[in-house]
Amino acid sequence: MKIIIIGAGKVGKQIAETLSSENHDVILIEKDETRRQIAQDNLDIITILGNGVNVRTLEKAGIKQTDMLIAVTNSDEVNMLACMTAKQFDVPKKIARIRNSEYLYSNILSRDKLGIDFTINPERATAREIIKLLKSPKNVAQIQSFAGGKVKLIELRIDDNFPFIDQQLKNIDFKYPILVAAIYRNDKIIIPNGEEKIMVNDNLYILIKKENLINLDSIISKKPLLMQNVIILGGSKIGFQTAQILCKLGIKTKLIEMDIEKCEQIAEKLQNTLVINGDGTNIDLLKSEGIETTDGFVAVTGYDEDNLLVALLAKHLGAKKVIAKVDRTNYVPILEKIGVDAVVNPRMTTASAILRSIRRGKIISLTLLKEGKAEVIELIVHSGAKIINTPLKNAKLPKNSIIGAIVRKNNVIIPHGDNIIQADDKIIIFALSSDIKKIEKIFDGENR
Amino acid sequence: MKYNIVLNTLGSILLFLGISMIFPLLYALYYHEKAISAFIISMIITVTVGILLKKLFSPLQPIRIKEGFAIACLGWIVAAAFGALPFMFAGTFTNFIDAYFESMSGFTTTGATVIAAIEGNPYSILFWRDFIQWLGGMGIIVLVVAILPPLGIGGMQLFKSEVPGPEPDRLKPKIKDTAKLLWRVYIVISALEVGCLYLSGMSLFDALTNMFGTMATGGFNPRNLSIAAYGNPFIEIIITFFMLIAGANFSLHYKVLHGDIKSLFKDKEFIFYCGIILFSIFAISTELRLYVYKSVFTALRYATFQVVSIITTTGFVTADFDTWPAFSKTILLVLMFIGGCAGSTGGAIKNIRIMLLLKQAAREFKKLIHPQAITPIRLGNKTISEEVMRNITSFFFLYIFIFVICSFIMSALGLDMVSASASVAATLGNVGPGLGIVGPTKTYALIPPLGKIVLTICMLLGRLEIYTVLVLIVPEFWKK
Repeated sequence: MKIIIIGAGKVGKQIAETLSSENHDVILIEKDETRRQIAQDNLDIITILGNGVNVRTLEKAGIKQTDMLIAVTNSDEVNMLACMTAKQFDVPKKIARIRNSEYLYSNILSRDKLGIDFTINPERATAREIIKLLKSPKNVAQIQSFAGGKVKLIELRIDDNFPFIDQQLKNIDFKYPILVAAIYRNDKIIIPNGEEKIMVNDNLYILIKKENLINLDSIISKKPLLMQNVIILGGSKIGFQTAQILCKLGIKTKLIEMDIEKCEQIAEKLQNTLVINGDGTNIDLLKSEGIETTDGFVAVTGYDEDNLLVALLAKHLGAKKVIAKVDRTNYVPILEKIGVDAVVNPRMTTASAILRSIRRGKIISLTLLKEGKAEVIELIVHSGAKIINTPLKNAKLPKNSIIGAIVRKNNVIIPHGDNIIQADDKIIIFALSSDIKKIEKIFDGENR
Repeated sequence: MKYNIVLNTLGSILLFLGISMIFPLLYALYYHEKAISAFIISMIITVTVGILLKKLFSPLQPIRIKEGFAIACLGWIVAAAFGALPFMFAGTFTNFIDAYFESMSGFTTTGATVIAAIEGNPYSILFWRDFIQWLGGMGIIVLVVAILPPLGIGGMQLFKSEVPGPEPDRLKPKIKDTAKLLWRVYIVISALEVGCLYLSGMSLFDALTNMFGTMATGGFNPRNLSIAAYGNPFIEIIITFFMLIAGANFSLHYKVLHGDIKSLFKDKEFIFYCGIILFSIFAISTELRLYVYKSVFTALRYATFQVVSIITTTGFVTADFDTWPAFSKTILLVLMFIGGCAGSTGGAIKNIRIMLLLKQAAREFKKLIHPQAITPIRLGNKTISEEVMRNITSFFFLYIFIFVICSFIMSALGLDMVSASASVAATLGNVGPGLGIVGPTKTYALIPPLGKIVLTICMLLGRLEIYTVLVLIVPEFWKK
């Protein structure tokens, strides 16, 4: 597939990298020479210097033969205009990142008229993820839903209290059907076999049926938190939207922001949130606002370093669950080691959302894990696929992949080697990103 | 530095090289030559080493900057070594220095030979000698990038370290596809040339071997007298035309083959290249007409062929230009430094660099008059970044510096001044024939062994454009 991406920011580069590694032809348009050069030096793509809404630039990028346009510059207006232009060239699929929600719900400039097939709002998506994390048990770093919520993927951080440390997977009796699909250890993703041992500081990716989620306590030793009050640091768009959702859920929310004008704006819009004007890195302020007893603390200022340090500080002072927003993915691997409960990364969230919408055909859902090292795919098995009616242990899946769950007519099966896949099953697969193409082939019919 | 991936990729190169020995082997079988065993043994050794390297070292590491340079440079050194095996086993040479010189001269498309009597060697050996030029012309690393599974960003690293010129063009978003396209264009034009030569009366063997020498801008062919042996003006015209093509940018040829003929005249480097050629032909043929030949046609015929042959760094010969007057010889010597275009199979400094250096020099004058002026260097409507300019300036300096040092060494070894500097200029620029004792009708056989080693290194430096080779001897490169 030929894909034009406009904007070589963090999201643009992440998407370009993933798509290029999946053998798509990617052309990246960027107006800043330095950024363009960095992208060109690091990715196997063509980069073009220029304005992404300039018709001549787009023609130079070959828009007439393009299958998809992804506009992810930092300006909503440019992204919208780029999609409109692409519509004139009959580009089949157009995706835009649009931050300002006012644009999204207008009838005059509806998505149809703009020619946008899919919009992504990074701040909103990140805010939703923060809420999900706040509501989940303490050791859980993330929860994802698959098969319409019937199956949950949980990333579990293993500490000293975990009851099965140093035991081989095949000897562990979890009491409920649970599949350990992947282990993240020392910056590597391992798809384990029965011999693998669980070690302290591992992150486990486990798949579990929704109804067993409440029984998770018996595995993770600590009780889930009941969120009653949350402190948010930073009145950015993410902070604002998080506060908005928390208020709707009836959770007492305080929002600390340094800029007085922003505080006023937020206070005007969010009546049930207590907006505090002050420096969030000031311990005295944090203490007087009750950081020692708060259930949740969310740091979402524009500065990664501030977010991290204050989150650590909050943890130290007694906040029960702390979440930090980090833009630079390079930081992510070390963060969870030093004590931050969970990290959100708007860039990864956005990139996964866009990639999910790109996958063709039978793939319903997709999640990137650990900077895109591995992916979780949910797909429907095609009736012509070769894998049908073969026991899983004989199916020739790529070495580092595992089928995590089979959903057949509303029943969830956590599979083992003897299970058989049938046509039209929904399956959830873990795989390293490099193997995705092979997997798509295995589950496809011959009719392509 | 990740040694596993480097050694694994070297294994792929050798495996491929070993398999390509099948072509001369077919010739050996066809003519029932004694060289059959030489090729079978060389093939077994090369393929076995290749497979062993591939099996023993895992390919899973990524290729980054360092690995890219190491693979490109070591790849060429190793390929030339294994490419020399058939010469050794067939008894063409008695010592390995000569065999390695000949092999490196082939791969780097230099065309400097140490074989005194070319005719009389087995067909298969002559075929192999010419065929390795064709492999080296578009580049063995580019071939590996095109054939191996996608290397991602590593592929680009490899590509950059081999394709000549400051900034390689990308024809397709994926470097693998770009490499494939370039090879495809190369093969198409090569096939055209074989067809033309065959129709003009050459045997298939001569057509193929001369095509290898032309398209790669190499200069080896199976005759002692080079192209003069055929004495056929039609053949000279065909070969001149294809040398001209081979010395120009192959991404330009891709565009032309796809119907975009205008891009030929829009390309500043191509115009500059043609301009220099026309000027040199005019100057030399004028002098030749005045002092050497009696007819304008003869003067023009020999001048044209020699000028194109030298500027494209091919090194085919139809007239002994060593006997020409000094002005003509000087022009040819200067052309040895200019060389082909970026992205061509030609060697030396390249037209685009010369052009940009001229512009830079002109800019300094402007700066003297208007000290505050902001004056970017433009090529067409594209601005050349200061970084690229810096790279070009240091490249030019290094090129001249290496030329000077190696000329010192060669004269210390007993060569006269003209021969010493011409031998270095001809090997560093991948041209082949020089002046004096390495002149167009002579060979490099008389050079002492140490001199041959120095010139072999010059050929490698010239083909990989200095940096790729020299970066490997910087101690920092090997630090963890």
